[in-house]
Amino acid sequence: MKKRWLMVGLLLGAALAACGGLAAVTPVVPLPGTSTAVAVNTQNVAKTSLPTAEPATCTVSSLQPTRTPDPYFPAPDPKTDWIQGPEGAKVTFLEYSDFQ
Amino acid sequence: MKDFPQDVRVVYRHFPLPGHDKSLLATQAAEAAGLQGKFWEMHDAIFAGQGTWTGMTLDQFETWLKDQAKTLALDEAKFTTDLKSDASVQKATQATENGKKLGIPGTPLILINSEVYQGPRDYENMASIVSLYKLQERQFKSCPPMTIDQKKQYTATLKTDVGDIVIQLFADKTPMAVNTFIFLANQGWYNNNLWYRVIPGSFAQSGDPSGSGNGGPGYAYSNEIAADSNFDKPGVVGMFNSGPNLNGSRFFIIYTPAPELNGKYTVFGQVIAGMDVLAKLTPRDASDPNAPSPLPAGSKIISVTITEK
Repeated sequence: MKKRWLMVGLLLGAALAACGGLAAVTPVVPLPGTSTAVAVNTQNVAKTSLPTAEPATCTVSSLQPTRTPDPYFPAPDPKTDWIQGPEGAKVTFLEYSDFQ
Repeated sequence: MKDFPQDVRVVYRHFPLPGHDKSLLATQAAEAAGLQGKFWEMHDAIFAGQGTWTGMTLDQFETWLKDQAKTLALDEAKFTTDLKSDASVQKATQATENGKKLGIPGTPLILINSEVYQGPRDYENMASIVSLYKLQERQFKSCPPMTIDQKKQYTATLKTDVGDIVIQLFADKTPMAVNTFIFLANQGWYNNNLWYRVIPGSFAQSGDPSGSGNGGPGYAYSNEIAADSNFDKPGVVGMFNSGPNLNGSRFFIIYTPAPELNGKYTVFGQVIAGMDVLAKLTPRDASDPNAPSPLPAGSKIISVTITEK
């Protein structure tokens, strides 16, 4: 089967680059805008007496590639799609595919 | 998919490509089998037989499809009727139109949770994605409160399946890293964590419940680099990061001095007992091109206990 794999740029969010990073064992630094980083809780630790120790800060951030649903593609619909697995599954793989 | 029965759903949508002479008939065959409750069985048979039928004429292919229906114990007469019924033809041609309308450039196009995915499609990657999604449910929505007393001595005992590793934590020099490590240990975050990357003679890494090597606790904090703590001897414990301000829960223990890590990673502890245990951890490195596939199951942290004095 001839499997073409040319994606139009429009379809590709920067998050995809981070996705590809899943292959690597060395974690990939998330690209800007790929994580749902929300600085809702920042704390500072008092500087220690050591001159080179910088005050550490903490920020809420998933640091994992997150995906936002793309309304461009219709959501799974049991009336028209072939579906395996529970409706409440955490991960849905949707495939547009050709047998040939 | 069978490894994640509760967590994974697979949705199949036809996109019979216009340039493929047998793609419409194949689609119709799967739909016809679907009318008898065996869509996925026919789906699998058609894909498995690709090498056999690709070179066939349409007529030969139709015969081949009917043979598959027979093998799948379908009602052959009904299958033959449904294969070329108006409804089947309509469904297949409509699928082509839908795909064209959406501008799908080729197949397969995979969406993960409704977003286009174009990463590798092997099992390790797919399983890694699922485990990371599962981990998101456990991630914390805020940074841990600062609860440690920097004047106290803290030790962590890592109970592993090959023995105990005792680590002295440097609360005075790296309060943020130690505080979060203690917080996570007390929350059970490290229980059953895989030593997902173990390179004998170099380092052993753990602290990601997803076991993928990409998971984190839901917050990130900065490096704490102290001038007098370096990766200068076996058993130094470093907090892994994905950048200077991107520390999480993953940590590593070095087997030999690693000066190249100085200044890049927070040194937050030192192994004071159990270096022999460290040597027993199962080697495992997904980045090694010669690594066995699938990777070995690996050693695990059973639990982490903190003592303070």
